[in-house]
Amino acid sequence: MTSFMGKVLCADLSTGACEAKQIPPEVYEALLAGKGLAAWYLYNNIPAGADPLGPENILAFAAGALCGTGAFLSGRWTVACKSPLTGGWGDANCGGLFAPAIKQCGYDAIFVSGVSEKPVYLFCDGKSAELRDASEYWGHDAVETEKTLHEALDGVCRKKPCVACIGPAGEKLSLIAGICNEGGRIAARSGVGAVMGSKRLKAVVLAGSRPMPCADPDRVRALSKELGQKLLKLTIPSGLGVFIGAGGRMMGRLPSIPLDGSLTSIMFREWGTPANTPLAITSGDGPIKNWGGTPQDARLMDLAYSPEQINRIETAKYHCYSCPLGCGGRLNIRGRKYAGYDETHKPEYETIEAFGPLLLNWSMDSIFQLNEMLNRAGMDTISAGNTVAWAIECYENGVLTVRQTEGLALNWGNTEAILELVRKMIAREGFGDALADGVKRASERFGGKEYAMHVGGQEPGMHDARNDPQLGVHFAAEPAPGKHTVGMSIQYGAMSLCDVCSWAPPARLHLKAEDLEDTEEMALISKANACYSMLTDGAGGCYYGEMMGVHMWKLVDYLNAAEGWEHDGDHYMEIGERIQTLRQLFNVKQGVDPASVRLPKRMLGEPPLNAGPLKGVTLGSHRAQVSAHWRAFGWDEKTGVPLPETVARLGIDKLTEAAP
Amino acid sequence: MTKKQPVFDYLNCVSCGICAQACPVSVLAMKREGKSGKYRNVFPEPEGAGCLGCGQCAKACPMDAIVMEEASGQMRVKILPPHGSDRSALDERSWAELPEGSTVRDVLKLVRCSPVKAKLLLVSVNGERSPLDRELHDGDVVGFFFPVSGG
Repeated sequence: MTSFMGKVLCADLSTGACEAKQIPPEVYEALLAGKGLAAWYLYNNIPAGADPLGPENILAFAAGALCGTGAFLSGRWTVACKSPLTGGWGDANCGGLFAPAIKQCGYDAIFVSGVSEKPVYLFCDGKSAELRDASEYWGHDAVETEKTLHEALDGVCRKKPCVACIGPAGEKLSLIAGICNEGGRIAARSGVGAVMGSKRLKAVVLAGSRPMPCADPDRVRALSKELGQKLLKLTIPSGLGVFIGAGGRMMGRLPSIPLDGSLTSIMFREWGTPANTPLAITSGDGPIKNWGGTPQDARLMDLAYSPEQINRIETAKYHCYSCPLGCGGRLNIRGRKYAGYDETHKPEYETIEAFGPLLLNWSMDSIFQLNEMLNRAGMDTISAGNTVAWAIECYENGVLTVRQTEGLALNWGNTEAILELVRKMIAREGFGDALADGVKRASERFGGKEYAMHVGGQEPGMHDARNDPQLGVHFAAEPAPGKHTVGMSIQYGAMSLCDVCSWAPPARLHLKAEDLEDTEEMALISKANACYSMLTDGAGGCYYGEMMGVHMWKLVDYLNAAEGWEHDGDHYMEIGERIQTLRQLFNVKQGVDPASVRLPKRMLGEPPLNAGPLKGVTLGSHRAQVSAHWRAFGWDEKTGVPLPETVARLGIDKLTEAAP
Repeated sequence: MTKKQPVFDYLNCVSCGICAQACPVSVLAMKREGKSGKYRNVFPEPEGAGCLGCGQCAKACPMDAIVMEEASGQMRVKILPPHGSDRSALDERSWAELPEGSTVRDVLKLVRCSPVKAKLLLVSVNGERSPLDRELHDGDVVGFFFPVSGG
């Protein structure tokens, strides 16, 4: 017995048919579930040249292999589709309770194709699946939709239903929209919400209660208990958060050192991802002033965004399914300046950075409000922040006039104007309408392309490639460009991958300038990092599980115990490699030219910054590093297309023949 | 046979929510607020009377923090008694049975603490400072600190 349900649910919204399909076991063995299963199904079933917002596009909701086995940090679900932002592979990842809900309905994944005439929601209770009318929920925000659906189904279902839905942004086909669950956890990237909106699918509601299988539950639970007991003992004195910024000042100047994964776990347990904000502001990791500023522009802003401020108003921690860490939190924001709501999820680092230092906005209170507004609307905060930053820089440099912005004085740090612009973007009113499709479309319409920060159409996550050239490689070479969760040196330093994978180079103390060299070692590091990330996504694991390192979160042992296999780390890394190659093949099939995906000039250090820790840094060898990364994967080093021998070595040709 | 009920050891709970999701009727919910170490956190607790006694939650818990026990109108609390108390009513893990609805005062009677001494005690229930008339629930951890007891 393995941990897979063996079936997927395929819903065709055009015809209203919902049917279960068996998945051959060799697919699970080669790709696990989660992102791997989604990549396999989408590669086979989306025809080349399909319209991302048309009926041919397929939206996948997939739970990971480890979900429901008792393994910790395995509650992530993946949404995948052809991205309307990039025209190629798009995926987004989210926590909450939706992943186990998919499996408790008896499926590993749900694939939605077609377009419905009127708004519908997909309901499944583990016995049957059907499309129901959602006209009354259309127009509601994500939190309201979830609440009203729960009220409507209370007493009808034995199990409390899990809801994943879109907000007004997705309904209005904003290309930077995402999919929400649990009152504001959001699978945000790649425009997945726009695809769901284009299908007129308001929500997916799951209320199954089937048992989730596992080969050796006792062994899995023993591994979890070991990790849980370690975490219960890890703690850090309160109040240290104000010193993180000072630590960042040192980090920006010192060589890179391999970290202990338990350090990151302590930080996420104590403060959640906002712990990273002061660090990013002072070390050069986080972008400032639309990626063109330096820490000098945001002097002492690390204190304005200290995570201790957030902890002070936290009412309780928020844990995703199967997470002992609890990096999320619920905040009481009643009565704070700008607050239009009583409660919000703790804003993530990406949100704080995108609406704080990136816009030179000093108001933490406005971030709480923006966070809740965007979560309810179902809009990606990374993309929205980058787009607002573009608008501000265009306005400051005269590309946009006050008439075009409809009277909004978009100056750096003008909090009221930022709030009003975001409100307009969500409602798609006037000037906001043009910005709701992301920075690439906006800059094509108004000009100011030199200020538009996007990689292949998608806005990059809030970490600077100049600080971490490895991250730049992943930004550009990833099948879903601009994603920050696939790899970076600090992550590689914490993972100790060399202890499970024979070819992964050990992380060592080194000068940051060495990251710029296009050596074979660097190429192997970026490959290993990407493979392990893909493996984690196939297993349904969390990024912070990766960051804990292989000695804390024992992914290989977990998978062996859950599936009843006895494979070594190299075998699993090959699964990651296979998933990554399949995603790249998806892009090639859809006509995306990987070599044309370029980092914006500003992120390459052209022109270089004139102050701060990144003073004078230019990523001159970036293209050579990308080529070396592709070569390490066995893809063509010039075009990025996977070579036929690589496809054969990984057995992808056989897998795609077996497709339904 | 009487129906069994889950009994929680909140000291070993990591709030992962696996038990709540395993509950086939969603009676178990992550609604109980309390402290884990210094963190304000949420813990599993049955809501309402719909528990089937199926034991799925106990089976799923990776931390072995849930035990299924027969319901008896009694509840189990963990007591960390003040110095010099009578421990004969406590088991080796310091848990004791009390009737439903007992308060901290009843705990003091159980460990035969003198009323004079009781006035000087600092009381914590699940890590929170509490008055002596606080009503206890199943699985609570009651701690006492006597300021002049030494370490």
